[in-house]
Amino acid sequence: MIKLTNLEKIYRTKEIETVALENVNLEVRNGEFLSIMGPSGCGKSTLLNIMGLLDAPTSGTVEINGVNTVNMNDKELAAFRNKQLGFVFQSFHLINSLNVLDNVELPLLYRKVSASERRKAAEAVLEKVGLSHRIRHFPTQLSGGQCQRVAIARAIVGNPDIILADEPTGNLDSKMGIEVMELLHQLNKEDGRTIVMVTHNEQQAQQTSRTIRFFDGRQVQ
Amino acid sequence: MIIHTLKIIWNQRRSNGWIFAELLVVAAILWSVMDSLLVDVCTYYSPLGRDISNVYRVNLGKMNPSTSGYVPDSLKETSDGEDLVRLVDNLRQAPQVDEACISYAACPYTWSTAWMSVTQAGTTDTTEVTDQFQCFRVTPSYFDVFRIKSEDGKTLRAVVEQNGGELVISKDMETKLYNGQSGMGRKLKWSATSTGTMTIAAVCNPIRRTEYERSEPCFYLLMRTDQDVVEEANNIPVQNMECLIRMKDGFRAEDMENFLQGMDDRLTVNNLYASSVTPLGNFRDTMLKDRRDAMMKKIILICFMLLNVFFGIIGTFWLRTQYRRGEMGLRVAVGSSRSRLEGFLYAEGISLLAFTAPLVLIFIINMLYFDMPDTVRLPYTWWRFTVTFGGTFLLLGLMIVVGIWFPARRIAKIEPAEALHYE
Repeated sequence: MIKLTNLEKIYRTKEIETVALENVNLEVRNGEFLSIMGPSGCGKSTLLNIMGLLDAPTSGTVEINGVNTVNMNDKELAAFRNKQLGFVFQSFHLINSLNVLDNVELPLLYRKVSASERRKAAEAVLEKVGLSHRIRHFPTQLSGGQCQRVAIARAIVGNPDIILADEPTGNLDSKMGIEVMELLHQLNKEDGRTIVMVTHNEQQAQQTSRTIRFFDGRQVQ
Repeated sequence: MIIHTLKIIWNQRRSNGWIFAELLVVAAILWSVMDSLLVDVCTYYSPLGRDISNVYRVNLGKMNPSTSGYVPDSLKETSDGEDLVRLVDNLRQAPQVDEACISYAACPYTWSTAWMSVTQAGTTDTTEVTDQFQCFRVTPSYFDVFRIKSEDGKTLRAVVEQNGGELVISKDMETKLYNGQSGMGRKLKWSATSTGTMTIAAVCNPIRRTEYERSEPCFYLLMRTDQDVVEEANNIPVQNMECLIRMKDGFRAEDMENFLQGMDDRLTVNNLYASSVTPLGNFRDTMLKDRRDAMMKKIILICFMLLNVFFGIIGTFWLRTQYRRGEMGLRVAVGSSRSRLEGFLYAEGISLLAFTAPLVLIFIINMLYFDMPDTVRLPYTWWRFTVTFGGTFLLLGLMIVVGIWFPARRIAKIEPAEALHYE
């Protein structure tokens, strides 16, 4: 499903060169729930961003669903992200000036989908994450857990195969964190979606099907 | 996508309200400035009705008894008026001179003006037709000197000489007196009680006094014969009469000194002499200097204001776009291409501007209702509205696009992962 080969990411400025990822080779299988762990600054989020085509590697290849994404142009990348990938961020990244329904509809806005279909799809996923009673609320009127559930709804509304979650419970208290993790497991088990999650939480990592660990830009386990 | 854009604008109405207010005020001021500037430009470049290039005024002097060569009245056989006619004939005969004329209160770019009231002959009701008009006393050759055309574009002098009559009226005077009907051949008199009448020999194009003024209804009272000139000149100090010459094409102002030397004693007739020659361009420069300076100050002020507005608008939209970098990163993450992202930002800015249009329109209607725009020099037409209203919004739109373009390009250049860090 996702295949990273000889991946390297180096951040260069005029004075210094920082190696964020070094010779990463990784394969994520279809339907897998993979967690990535490691100390801060070890390159976990960089790896996730490269998998999500939000950042380009310095060298190496990223293959998703059998498609090599390295030579894709901006438009192709945008369309690919829109159809194949869903993102869940630690800080939710909801647009505060849009209500819950409009936030969830956002990925469909970049497809040729009619307004009524968009609405129907958004309502369906909001029902799934248990927020159908909050569709007219704005993000500022929701709790952190609810915001993350909206973000998950937005990630799955376009029916992508892969969900990339960057510390999805990092900003939540333990109770809400458990709720969000339950939701992600449900998406993995019931819908068969592949999930790659960056986390600092050992307990959450143990619940996933596989855990890999990073240290100083290298995969150590 | 349009509804999505409108939703965002509406939901951000608190912060957008200030931008909306800023755009509204700027659009209203900009429209006022553009309208005023358009009137000035259109007035400046519209036809003057005459051509002063290569035209010179011969300044007249009269000797006094202490001057050598003074001819005492007892020895003189001619009047001052006859001397003037002879002097002008001498000038006309010079090969460098294209045409020469005599006039009174008719030299352009001088403050010398005469106003006369006239009324239509044969009309008992004088309330509508008696009015004051600027009056120029001229010989028919004046029309050749200034190349004034008839309303249908013919050489005015030829029309005047073909038709009998004492008057040439301007097109706007004809309109004022006869409401669109032809004035050719009609009769006018000085007042309702006058017995003598004057016939209109021709109608000329509207004549403007200066580049900054619109044309005023005016008429030329013809001095067809030398006797008419003599009579006029004998009524006033002869040196107050105007002697104007058009030099032939190719004659340069630097050649004037040689020309005057070549004329020698032909520039003196009895006690009357040509004291100097001044290009009419010099009169124009002197008369319009204050207006030009004022206009320059106005243009500098407008440029300064536009620069301020430019930076204000750009700054507002720049900050607004920078502030939303995180949102832009998210949009790219969920499937927007960078070009589409830029398009969205432009659409948002332009939509905000478009919302001000109805209010600016109401402002303009109010300004027109209170007669604030200058409709004297330039009538308010759909053309004028389109140019100023369209120009205002085009200029503001450009400012908004520039204000969005720089930060949007910067955001588009950075990787979405980095943009997502800004929240």
